[in-house]
Amino acid sequence: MLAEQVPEGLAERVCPDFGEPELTSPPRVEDRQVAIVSTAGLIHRGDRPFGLGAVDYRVIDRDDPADLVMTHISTDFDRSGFIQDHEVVFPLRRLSELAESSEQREIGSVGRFHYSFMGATDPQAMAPAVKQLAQTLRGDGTNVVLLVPV
Amino acid sequence: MSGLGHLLEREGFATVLIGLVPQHVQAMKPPRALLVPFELGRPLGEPGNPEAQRAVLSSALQLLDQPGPGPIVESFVATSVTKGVGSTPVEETWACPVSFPAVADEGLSARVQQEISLLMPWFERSVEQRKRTATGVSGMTIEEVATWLTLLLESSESASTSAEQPLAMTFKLAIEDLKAFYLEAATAQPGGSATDLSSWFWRQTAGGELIWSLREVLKGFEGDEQLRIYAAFTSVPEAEVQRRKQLSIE
Repeated sequence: MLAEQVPEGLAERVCPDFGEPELTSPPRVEDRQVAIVSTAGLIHRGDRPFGLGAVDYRVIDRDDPADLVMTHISTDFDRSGFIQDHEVVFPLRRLSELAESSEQREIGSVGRFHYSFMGATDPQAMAPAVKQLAQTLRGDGTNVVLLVPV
Repeated sequence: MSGLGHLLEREGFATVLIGLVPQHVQAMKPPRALLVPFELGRPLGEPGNPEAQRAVLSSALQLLDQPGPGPIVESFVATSVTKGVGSTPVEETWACPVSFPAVADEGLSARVQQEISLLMPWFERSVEQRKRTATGVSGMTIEEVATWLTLLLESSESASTSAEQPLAMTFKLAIEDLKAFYLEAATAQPGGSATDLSSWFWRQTAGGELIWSLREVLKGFEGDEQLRIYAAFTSVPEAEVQRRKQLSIE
């Protein structure tokens, strides 16, 4: 959003302090394997929905992205975009197109596994889950993460 | 989301964030972020515009090649393919494909069921076109959802739920199902910004009125704290709550 369009309550929310960022150098473009981490509370239909204060995550398999549903507890963001086109929130197809494009190589490949947390939770409380997630990402060969909020 | 960027970068992953709230990005200093001008809920912008979505992704991924130190933050520059994203052009006025007849003397439950009947052909068209639906997460049909929510409005004891799932969660999933049904039906025809669709649902439909009524009844409910929290804070958008407060003051 443009800064002036952000609702007052959201703009003024106190954010945790993570200090100055540490930058990890990405590998060469052709070696970049990208995974999406969303905070839209996405689940595969039938998975456990996200509830109040959830700090865990769900796994979304690249080869089985159908039937994703959103179970974020907040009602303060638009869902009609996602309803019309999942790529607006979870751009897996667009990412795959970039990996396959011969015109303009921007990434090497797309990871098999992608992940969803639910925002509206203190990110510091997600640290243990992120430690666990890091192992899974490494196991899949992912070295770049695209963070997509909602 | 910025916090996840910090945590993952410390684990040895290069990250890039699509930033929706500039104030939060500024405060939390994520390693790399592309600020986008889109509405909350639409981080990649316009539905059904792959070219514009690819432009956003490309801009974000290009930040990986910028030298540090971080934070590396840039604003997405709209191009011809992304202009007008997230909103209906001014000259177009969105209208729901269905007009609901005025039935002031009918009860709320009957009006919701009538709306469901009128929207059903558009909902079915949406499912046929998209080959999917977000409804059904509660495990109920949409008619059952409407009936269950009406029963809950009358009494929390008459709306039973499965032993494995708390009443509050069934409530949350049921209202998500109801909203998804209306929005899928309303967007079976293209057009309609997030604001148009939200205003229509919350201000003009009996379905929206049913959720409003549940919020008003349950936000002071003492029998189930989780249900009270869900009703008070996660059922109706804060912007609509503030708007109604403002109108009542005026």
